[in-house]
Amino acid sequence: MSSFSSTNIPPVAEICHIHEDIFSQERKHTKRIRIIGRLQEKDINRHTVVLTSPVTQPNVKHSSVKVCVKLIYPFEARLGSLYETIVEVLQPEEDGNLHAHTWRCMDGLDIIMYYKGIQMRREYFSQQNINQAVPDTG
Amino acid sequence: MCAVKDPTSLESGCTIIPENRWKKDPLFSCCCNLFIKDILDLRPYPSGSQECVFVYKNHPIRWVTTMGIIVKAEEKAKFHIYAVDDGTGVISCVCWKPKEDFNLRSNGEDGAQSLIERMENWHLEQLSCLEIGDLVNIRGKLIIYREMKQISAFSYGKVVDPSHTLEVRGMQDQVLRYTSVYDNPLKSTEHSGIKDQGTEGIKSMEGISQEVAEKILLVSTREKYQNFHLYELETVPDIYKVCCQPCEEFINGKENGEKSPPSEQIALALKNGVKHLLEKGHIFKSKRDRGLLHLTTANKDLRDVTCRILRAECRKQEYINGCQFQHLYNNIKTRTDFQYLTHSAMRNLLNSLEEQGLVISCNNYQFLPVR
Repeated sequence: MSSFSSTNIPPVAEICHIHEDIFSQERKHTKRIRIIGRLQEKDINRHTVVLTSPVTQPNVKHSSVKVCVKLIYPFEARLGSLYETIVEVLQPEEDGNLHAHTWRCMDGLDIIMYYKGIQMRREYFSQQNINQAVPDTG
Repeated sequence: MCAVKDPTSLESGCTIIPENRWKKDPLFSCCCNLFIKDILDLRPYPSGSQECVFVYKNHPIRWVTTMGIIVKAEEKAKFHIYAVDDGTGVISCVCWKPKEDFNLRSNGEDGAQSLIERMENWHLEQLSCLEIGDLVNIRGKLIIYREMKQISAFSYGKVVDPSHTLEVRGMQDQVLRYTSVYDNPLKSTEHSGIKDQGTEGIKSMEGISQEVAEKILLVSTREKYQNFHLYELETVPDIYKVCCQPCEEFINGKENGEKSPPSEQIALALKNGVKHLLEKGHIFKSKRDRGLLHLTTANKDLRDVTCRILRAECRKQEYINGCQFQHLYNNIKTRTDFQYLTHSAMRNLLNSLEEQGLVISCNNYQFLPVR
């Protein structure tokens, strides 16, 4: 039998929303994220696409991201469809792009229920962190 | 500054469950839908000798199920390894390929062979269709290989769901399972029947029955009873007090003892206590009066009959060195009054006669009367 060594296993891809600030201080150590967006533009020559947030958020600064899909083969995309992708967050100084490692069509997804599921998870984890935090007696 | 406790370690208030009681926990016999980050933090169960049984709160976990995206794939000769990501962690899964020598091949008609071949090809296509980016559902045993946790899958497959309801519903149900099942530690009871935390004094029916049996013997010896009926025991204050102790099978969730115990509890405790005494031979049933129970060592008639039979049999040539236990037992059972006498009661009686100096036990479980 065999397995991936600890260095070979890719880092976990945290589930995020496009309208959240991906390069914020909270996610400074996050190397990979999973996002869902609607395909607005695609540039075949530069291998880049623009994904927009599937839910319109008022007064939101970040509503779209640019993703490099050079690593996706075969790349099939329809404008206006919903796609989920796991992207690697590189330093913004380099090219500002997110490099996609996976690409999955999510047409037919109930986006409101999906967001509700993610919200339930986040609430559960935050509650667990509150319960498990032990005050320092020192 | 705060330190964060490991959620999978045994917390205070969670008792370690002994290995022989793991089967009472339903999570031990099912595939638990844990987050991958929790799976990776699981530690081996402290009280267990079995490998690959881990602890979450105080639940023993051995099988897990997970739904996630394949982020890395590798093919070997006999299996595939997939790294699966569910958004909380990444774990490697070993998925064994089906055996190539398919024993169900029939040598008969072409129709049956082509069906089996089509099934094989379909299954191999399904396996080869798992690629990076696919959503998969994997169920398997959690093992440790080279100090790393992985899932040895016994069931895996791509999730084909055009409306993605399985994935969304799975995320919500997983959180509900955590709050309603996984995060509630299993409560344990000690073997003596007494609960170990916060519910002192509550005993199991088995524990109360044994105490009732001991009390019946004690009272009978003190008061020199020779026989009794079951219903008469309720009238003895000492025995009634033992029957009225709080019992975990009959407690109605009320922690105070103001409510009097139900009559079913008292009847069951007395019945079980008498059953214990019958099994151990301290009492035996009467043939003439069905409800009457005789104390073995206090029954004068039984004692006299036993001594008389022993003296008579030991005069015979074949029993001159002692009368065997089974022969003596069969002789006594021919008497109408003692037809329900058991082996254990007979042994108790002979031990009691030997203590009184009326009988001597010899080799090969033979007995001689003292003349």
